[in-house]
Amino acid sequence: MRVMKRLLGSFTLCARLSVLAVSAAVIGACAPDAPDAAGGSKIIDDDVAITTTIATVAPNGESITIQVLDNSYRPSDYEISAGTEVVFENRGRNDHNILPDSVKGDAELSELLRNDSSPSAWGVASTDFVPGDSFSHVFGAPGVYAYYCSIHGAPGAGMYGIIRVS
Amino acid sequence: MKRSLRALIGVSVLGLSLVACGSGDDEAEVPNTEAPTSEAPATEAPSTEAPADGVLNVPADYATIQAAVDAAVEGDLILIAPGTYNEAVQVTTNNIVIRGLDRNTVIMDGNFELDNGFRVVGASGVAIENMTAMNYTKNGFFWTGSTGYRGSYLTAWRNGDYGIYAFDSVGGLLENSYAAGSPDAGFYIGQCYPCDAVIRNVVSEHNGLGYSGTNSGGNLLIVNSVFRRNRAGVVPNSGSYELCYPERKTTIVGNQVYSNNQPDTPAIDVAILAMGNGILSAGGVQNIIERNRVWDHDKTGIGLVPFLEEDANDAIPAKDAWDMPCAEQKQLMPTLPDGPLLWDSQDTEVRDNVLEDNRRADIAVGSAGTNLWELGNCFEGNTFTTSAPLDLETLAPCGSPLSETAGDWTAGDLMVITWLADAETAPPSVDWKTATLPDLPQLENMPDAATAPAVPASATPPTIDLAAITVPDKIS
Repeated sequence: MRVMKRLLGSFTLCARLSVLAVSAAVIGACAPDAPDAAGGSKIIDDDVAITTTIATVAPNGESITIQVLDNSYRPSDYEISAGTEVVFENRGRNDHNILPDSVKGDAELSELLRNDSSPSAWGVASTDFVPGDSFSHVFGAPGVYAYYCSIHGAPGAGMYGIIRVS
Repeated sequence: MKRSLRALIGVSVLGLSLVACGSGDDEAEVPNTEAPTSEAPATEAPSTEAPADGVLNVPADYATIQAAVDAAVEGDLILIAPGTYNEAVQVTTNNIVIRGLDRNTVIMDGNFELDNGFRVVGASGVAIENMTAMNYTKNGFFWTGSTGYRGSYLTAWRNGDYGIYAFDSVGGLLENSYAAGSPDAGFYIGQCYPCDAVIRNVVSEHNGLGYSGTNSGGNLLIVNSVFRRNRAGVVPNSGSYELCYPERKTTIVGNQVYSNNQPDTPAIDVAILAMGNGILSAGGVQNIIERNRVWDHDKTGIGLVPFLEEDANDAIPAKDAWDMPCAEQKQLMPTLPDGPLLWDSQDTEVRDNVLEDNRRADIAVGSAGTNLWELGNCFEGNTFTTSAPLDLETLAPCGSPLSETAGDWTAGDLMVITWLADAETAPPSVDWKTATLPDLPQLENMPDAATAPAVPASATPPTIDLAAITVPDKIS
């Protein structure tokens, strides 16, 4: 058996930050020095002080992989414990994206990631998820995270998936 | 973006004169014409509720097609007046019919910016009729996750991925339609088993692939159609980059397949690898290829070859799992293989086809290490001159187990592995936005478009009398 590679690139920074439930609405979502452990008040940017509320858990060291194929996520429905890292690997022949159901497209995702550090702000645009690319995210807050590919699906139809975090 | 190739290896088909796209001589089927340039007039106060008669007129009642689609309820008919519509329409309502009043002047134009002319997502019973979609970055017409779909009298021209595309959908009919200028396939039905679908009376040309079907099959019929001047003609194929593998039980009968060596089309990598083949099964199994006329190909007329998949995502299913329905297979967890997979074409019957001037071989079977007599493919009753290996109909007759001792299986070997090298020197893909294409054709309209009743797509495709289909005449 081949061990699945995990290419944790710059997206991981966003993922790490997202384990914090950030009450401030506007911050640099992917600040390079963002802490990845839950704590009280944090300063994650030299210019912007924000207050965090501990509603999520830190990474638990567990990791699972979801294959992103043409045009399916496999498995499409996965239950994990909070703090688990999910690695999405584009193993198809086409570009795909991963958008929370509330997001309509790549541009809106980019806007969301710029302006929102809450657990619901996650995903990857198609330009950053071509065949061979990986994207990882730590789901630190319990909940149901429904997502889809806007190229090949819609919320709950076509290419879509669910992560259930307990 | 398509991943670099190194994959396929596989290939070839043919048909009757087309009802949809005219009959008669070759060029008369796609006469030159200018694309309509009229713009859809705006409506000041579009309706928000469906009219009582169930007919929603665009733009008279609704300024845009999307507005009409959003207002429609099951059973409605959306009638679109001639004009150019710069829209990407998404359909999520079941059992509606969307119809252009004139196939050639109801133009969906993506302007090289919009993704799909129509995208039907998760809706069942949606029929799209009598219009043209062009210049979309993805697909002209796209169904996904549908039970019951139909595309009739459609023209897809110069689109950036597929022309007419049905994915993970069952119960389909694509008919009387035309597709040109897509780097992937003009027509595609993939990831379904059983598909319960029919493609009939279509013309596909100047695409990367005339037809492609990955991991599809099971009561999937491709009949009475024309696949010409693509890089490769009809290419059912297997691979674990989509679900529901392998491709199996596709029936290809009565088609005209010719001159699929076109060097100046847009083309994905696999199309370049398959270039020069008429009907090419690339890792498909249990297919039936009968009574097609296939001619003028640089490689094979009808070829059964393997698909070499690197970076595969799951093991190849054992033969006893081939009949597992797609919905069931989707629930299985994959087992990552240690190395590349070789999807051999197996248990396919090639009978009673008429082939000529296929320069490598009229009929052929190849592998990359598997003993050919163990693959179970058979050839019988074909009219041909050349085969690979030699004496193929003697080596692999239908109706009896194949034997190593039937003859020399190595003489005239297809040497399919050399196709990988051929692909490196093949003419590269041409930008789909600028590729030279036949002019947008004026094609036959559906009868009585203004008055014909709305018939949503049935989940049960029409019954095709396969036995009544004869080898089509050659287009001169």
